[in-house]
Amino acid sequence: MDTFEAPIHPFRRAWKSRSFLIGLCLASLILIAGFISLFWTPHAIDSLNVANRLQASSSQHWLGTDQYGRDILSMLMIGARTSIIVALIAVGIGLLFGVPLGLLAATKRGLVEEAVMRTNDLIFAFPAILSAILITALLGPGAVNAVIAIGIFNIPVFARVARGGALSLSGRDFLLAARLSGKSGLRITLEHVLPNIANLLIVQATIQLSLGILAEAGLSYLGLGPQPPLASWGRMLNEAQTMMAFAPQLALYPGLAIVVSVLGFNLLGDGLRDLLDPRLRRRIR
Amino acid sequence: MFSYGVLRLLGLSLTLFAASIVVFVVLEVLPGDPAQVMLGISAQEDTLAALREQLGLNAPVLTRYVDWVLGMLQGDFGISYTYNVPVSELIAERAAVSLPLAAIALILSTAIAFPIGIMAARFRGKALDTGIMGLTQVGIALPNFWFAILLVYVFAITLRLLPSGGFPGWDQGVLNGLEALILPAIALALPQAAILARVMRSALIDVMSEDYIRTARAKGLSARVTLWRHGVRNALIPVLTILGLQFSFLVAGTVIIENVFYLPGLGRLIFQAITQRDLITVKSGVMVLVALVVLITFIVDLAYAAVDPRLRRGR
Amino acid sequence: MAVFSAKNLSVSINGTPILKNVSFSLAKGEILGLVGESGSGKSMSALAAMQLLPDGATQDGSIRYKKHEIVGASERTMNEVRGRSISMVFQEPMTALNPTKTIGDQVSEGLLWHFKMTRQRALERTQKVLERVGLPFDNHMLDRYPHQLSGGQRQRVVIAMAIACKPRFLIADEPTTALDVTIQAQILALLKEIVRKDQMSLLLISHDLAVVADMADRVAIMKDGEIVEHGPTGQLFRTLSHPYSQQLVEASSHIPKARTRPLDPDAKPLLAVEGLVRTYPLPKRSVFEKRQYHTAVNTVSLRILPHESVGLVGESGCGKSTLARTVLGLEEPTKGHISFLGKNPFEVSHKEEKALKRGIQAVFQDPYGSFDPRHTIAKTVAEPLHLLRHEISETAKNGKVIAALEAVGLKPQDAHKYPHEFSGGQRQRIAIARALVTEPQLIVADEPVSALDVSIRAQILDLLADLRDRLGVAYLFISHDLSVVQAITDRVIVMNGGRIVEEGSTEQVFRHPKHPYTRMLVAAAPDLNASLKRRHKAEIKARTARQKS
Repeated sequence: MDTFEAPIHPFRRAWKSRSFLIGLCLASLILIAGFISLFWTPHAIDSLNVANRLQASSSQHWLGTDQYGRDILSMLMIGARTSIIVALIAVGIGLLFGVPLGLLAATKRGLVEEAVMRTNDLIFAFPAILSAILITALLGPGAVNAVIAIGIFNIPVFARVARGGALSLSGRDFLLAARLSGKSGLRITLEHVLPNIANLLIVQATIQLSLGILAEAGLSYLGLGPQPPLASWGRMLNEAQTMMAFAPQLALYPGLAIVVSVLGFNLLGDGLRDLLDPRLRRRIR
Repeated sequence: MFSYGVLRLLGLSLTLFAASIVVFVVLEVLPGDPAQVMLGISAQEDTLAALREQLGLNAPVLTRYVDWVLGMLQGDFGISYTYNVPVSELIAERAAVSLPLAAIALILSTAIAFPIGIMAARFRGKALDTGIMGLTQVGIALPNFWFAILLVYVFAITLRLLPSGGFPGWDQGVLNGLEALILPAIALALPQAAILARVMRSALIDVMSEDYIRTARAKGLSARVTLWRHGVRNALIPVLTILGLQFSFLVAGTVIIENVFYLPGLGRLIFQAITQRDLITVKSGVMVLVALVVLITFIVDLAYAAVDPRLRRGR
Repeated sequence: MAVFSAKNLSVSINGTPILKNVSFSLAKGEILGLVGESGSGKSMSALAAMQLLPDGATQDGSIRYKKHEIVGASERTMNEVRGRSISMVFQEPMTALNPTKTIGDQVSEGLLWHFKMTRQRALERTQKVLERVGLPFDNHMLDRYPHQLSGGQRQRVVIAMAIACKPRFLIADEPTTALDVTIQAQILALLKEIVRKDQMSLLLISHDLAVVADMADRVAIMKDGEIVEHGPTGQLFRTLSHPYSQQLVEASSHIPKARTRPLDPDAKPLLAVEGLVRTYPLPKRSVFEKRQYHTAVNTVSLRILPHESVGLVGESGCGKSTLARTVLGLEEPTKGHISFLGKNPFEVSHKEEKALKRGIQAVFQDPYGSFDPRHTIAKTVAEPLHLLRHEISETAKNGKVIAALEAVGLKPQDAHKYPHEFSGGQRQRIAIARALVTEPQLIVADEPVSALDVSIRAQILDLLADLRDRLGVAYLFISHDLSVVQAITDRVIVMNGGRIVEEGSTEQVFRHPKHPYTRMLVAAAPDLNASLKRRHKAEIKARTARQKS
């Protein structure tokens, strides 16, 4: 095999990947903002102060206040925390259930595979919004509702990625060699398959994280997500919509926050894909 | 081809069957007493009993399920509790808004995404490609409802070119109806188009590195002709998969977008029904949307076979 | 006048030189063979001739088709030249054809592009070309898709595509490497017949000296982007002067030293297989059809003695790999009986199973796919020691790994490296080390040298022969390549269609094949010395004929 590329260490390449760097910056911005909000926000947001409403940007309120007099920046910071926690747990649910299911489908084949894939189809037929609507009917609206609805939708996504990755390895001789070494299917999956599809899963996780942020925003815009006093970007947009004609900036900030975080995690995922892509790695061989 | 279709059809009905069980269990079995859910905790015992009687909740669960499914198969979706009209009428009326909206959005996003994706692939690595890819990156990150709000601000509030929401009804003229759907369709289509364009680009780049592309060039075909004749068609296979999945997102999107624009569509119907605790409407409405998604998946599967002869078993 | 010539052609990709001052020319109706190992630049020469070089390539020098300079010619000119004047046959017939277009569409495409003709007319000509390349005449051929054809048929379609516009110069890049030997012989004969009859010039690129010696009028040997030696075929091979070409010829018919450890024909067999059958369910064509089964291995019986090296030959799909997998215990037999070390591996206790698995290990074909890219060499080689868990200490384990590495000629330091740091030949050594680490009595080697260049192949064969004598390990050596099997085995088994058709000592089977299939196989296998002898005879005959007249 002809190779024309000199080997470059992944970290060195990371610094050269523009999308990775931009993604890392944007995602860190949101993550740090959300993290700080755990201890400190510029102003408290659980008390309404109507006298203070609809202020423009000032040294007191960097981004102004909303129609109830709450500090926008503080709301955005708490919103960052809300959406990241919801999206993270949802990704966790997807990984926890989806990956074992996908691996099971890939290794057992036959009826088990068919059952897993059909279940996948079934879940795909319920967009997160519909699941959320059903769960709301059951439990009422709330953050948990959003987490479950988005998490359920993540399960088949990860199942698919895990199955596809495992299948692409299935013809490899090193798996046969492992079987000749008397290793059980479970051990081979843990020792050989999982580490080799970890890259795919990491990349997918960042993508699902950004999709989760989008979905959380959508649900809370409809009022199906986290409830007050917890701030969330989606509901900020919903409240801002009625004020569009007088205070369009209220709709601007939360939207930008969503775009920045989704863009950040997407770019991060793209960058990671480039860095971890087995095809690129192979070329470096 | 025929037997492939039959097999797929079988899978489709199985999925629908399973989906109906899920919907039924979540809305009728798990809540314990649906009548209580619909009327709230403070409801009087005699009104509850009356509602239970009206909904047929006193019958065994299995009978209720079978009746529901058989009813739907005959076009009987029950009577809406809040509107007090047959749910089937509600759905038909609302679908007249939602389906055109989804169709316009799907056509729009394909019409935007395909040329852009193909161009980006053709000029891979050039400034044009980088520019397009940067734009699509932002497009994907754009929440459609925020984009919708911005569109309303610019085109309805500031420029006053288009209505900011509501739907006049098709009986007020097709043009008026379409006018009300333009902004919602754009809001739905653009973020979808961004994803689709990226998929198209990467699929086409993958295909263009295949051996048969080199074969075509060795026949003397120019790069452009090769791209169109051998590249695009084969790139459609992965693109179709995403297109099928996107419909599911599109349905989710209509629920939100219809709320932004106050459009009387299916999504808004279900959403309002849930806030009004009208479980009968929710149950059948969700089922209709699920059926729609599954049906589109089926059509995509058939399109698959049309594009890829390897999927047509037999001869 | 030369139909095609390259003069001082140099090609670099991103600054790395791939071709250095390459010059060759072809007269009308002449066949030039271009041989070399992987990375020698032979394929790049073909791509340069078509001006289909990859991105980032720069070229220097001159390429002429008749009087026209091709280097630096405009895309428009080249689009007229490609397919019309210069055509190319590619290596992989499966991937060279577009899976979503019919054969008729793909073959007629070039005709419609280069000539003004109706689709109807183009399809008529396509039908004629398809018959010309020996595809059976039937009305459906034009409407078939590539996946509905066999490998040989696909390559015929690729050839049909290349000759549809009657080009004067044809390039064939490893046209038969992906095919079975009997198909290879047919395709080569077809190519030769077409080229001779239509007075086409052919540039035949191959890694196989025997194929080139059989086909070409003149031969050029390439190494590292340079032509190191060239001349008329017979004369060139008689008077090889460059050390590399001598080494290449030696390696391609390399025979490792004969066995020093004698066999005991009366010993209890190591492995005994009786009436083995293995069937697979076929996918159903429709829901209502009854499930059909494919019998991959059909009532096969064989025995392997201790220290014995047994070859298993046959073409793709003959069941040899399925047989190997069953013997290895990776698949259960549908019917029949396997006994290894006197026990049935599918009916023993867990403890005995571990002992049996230690006794039989495997070496696979693909030196790239047989290692987990994330495991170090130490971890990879130590993997079979899982069969000795709780039985030996960590230090003993390390000792065994180091011993195995040294046995195959690698250094103990290599244990901490990763697979991607090694070349193909070294990787095959690592694979052998992994197979040796449990000190097995039998190694099943499935095409262990097929993916390697001839010089590396000779080294690995030497290593295997050495291990056979030093450690007394027995081999079940599976290969489609008769010369390799001939070089390393005591006994050979020939399989066809899931059955054993012939069995006997290697020498006897190759010298005097009895079964018609074996005869066909032996006759079809390219053999450098045989084809040089044939060529020599023909030359003498031609000379005497000339003298007579």
